[in-house]
Amino acid sequence: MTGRSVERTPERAWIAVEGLSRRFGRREVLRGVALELPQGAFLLLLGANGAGKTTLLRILATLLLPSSGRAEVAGHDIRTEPAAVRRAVGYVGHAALLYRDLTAAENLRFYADMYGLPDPAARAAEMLDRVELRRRSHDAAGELSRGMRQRLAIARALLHDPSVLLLDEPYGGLDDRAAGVLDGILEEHAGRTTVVLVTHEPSRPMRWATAVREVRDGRLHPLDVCAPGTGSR
Amino acid sequence: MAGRQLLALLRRDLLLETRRLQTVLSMVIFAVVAMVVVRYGWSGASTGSPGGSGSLGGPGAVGDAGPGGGTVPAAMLWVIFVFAAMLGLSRTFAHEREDECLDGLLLCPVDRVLVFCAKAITNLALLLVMQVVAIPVFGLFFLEGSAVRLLACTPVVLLADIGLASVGTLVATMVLHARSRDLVLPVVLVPLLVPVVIAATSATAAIVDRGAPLADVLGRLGFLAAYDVVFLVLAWGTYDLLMKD
Repeated sequence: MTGRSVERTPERAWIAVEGLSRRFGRREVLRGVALELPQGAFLLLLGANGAGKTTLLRILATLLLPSSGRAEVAGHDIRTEPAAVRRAVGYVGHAALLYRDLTAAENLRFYADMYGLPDPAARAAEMLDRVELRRRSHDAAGELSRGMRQRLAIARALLHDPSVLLLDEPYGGLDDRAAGVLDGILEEHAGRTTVVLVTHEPSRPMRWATAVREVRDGRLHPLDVCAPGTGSR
Repeated sequence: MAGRQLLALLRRDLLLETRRLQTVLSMVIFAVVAMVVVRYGWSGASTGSPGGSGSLGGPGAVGDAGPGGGTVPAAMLWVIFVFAAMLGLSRTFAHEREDECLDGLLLCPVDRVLVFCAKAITNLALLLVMQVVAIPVFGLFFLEGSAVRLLACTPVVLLADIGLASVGTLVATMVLHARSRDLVLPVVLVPLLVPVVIAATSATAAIVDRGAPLADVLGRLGFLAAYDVVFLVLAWGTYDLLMKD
């Protein structure tokens, strides 16, 4: 069972957000956000610290509930079909979301089991190869460097072959070589996986971007830094 | 798939616990040390001087106390178990809090009730491991020559432990996002556990006291079973809600 097993409907937006708001106490971080992304779109999300980029990503990943508005991911409503959304989404956040006392392989094996993948051990080994961590597979995640943990976090997010990737500053902590590994992964996914990538350094992922938005004052504002009309509104 | 997910959650918890052994060791050490201290005071009380005869299982052993004399040691036993359990329950989500692993778990398409089941089973296992050490120590200190009667307490221990683990896991989840969770957990949990402690105490006392009517013991066991069922059903019905932000 992977994110790809979700039936696709090309004419529908793969990510559809309408009137989405989120409050933290009295502070309204998102105010009526609207967004439509077709399958295979690559959205770069920019904005100042605290603008609400991470909040939007966490809502799309079902980690947060919106205060109002609606959002669909891979054709599934985040409120009413959260499990289906989770099957479709791969998420890389600020933290690696890895158990420090488990080895790299054990971490991936655990998550592969959680996603019900047919051969968890083989899939874990395959992903460790993909992020060039095979040699450290028996090291505890807590013993890995920050960059290695970030690569492992990327492997975790890709385990179930998601149809939507939500990446929150995925280049953080990566050296040039590791950033190159991530470049290779994004190159593979560009055009076939819907990607929302939050970054403060857009130069590197700009080559795949089909849309760029800035989160400001709780809303999304288009930025004229790539060709318009490439499949997003 | 649910069975496989539950097994994976249990395997993860087992691996994490065996890597550090922090939780189970702290529970065992607390329980044994508390019993040594109580035993010391018990000897003193029975001889009129601190330390008293100093002989384990000497004057004051439950077997010598006659009918009803087992209530105080049984109460001490269960109070010690509750506080030892608190040490484990406060760490129910300790691993998930590191590196925001809770988010990793919440991102998985797993029924939240399975997360409860895995955590409750892990807490139950930790309690049982602690008791495997602590109950013989209790028998040695307080039931001279009749410690074998404690074996008959097995159903009481199992039913009370299921209650401790299920309610404890539920409350640990409720206070998961609280800033002062270490403070809030016992404040919320202890009142909820009072019925379990009372029932387990009276059942244990009835068993270790010679000649207690079987109906008394069965009544307490029935109460413990009902308590377990109520809180397991409550967890089943509310856990998904509790895990939401």
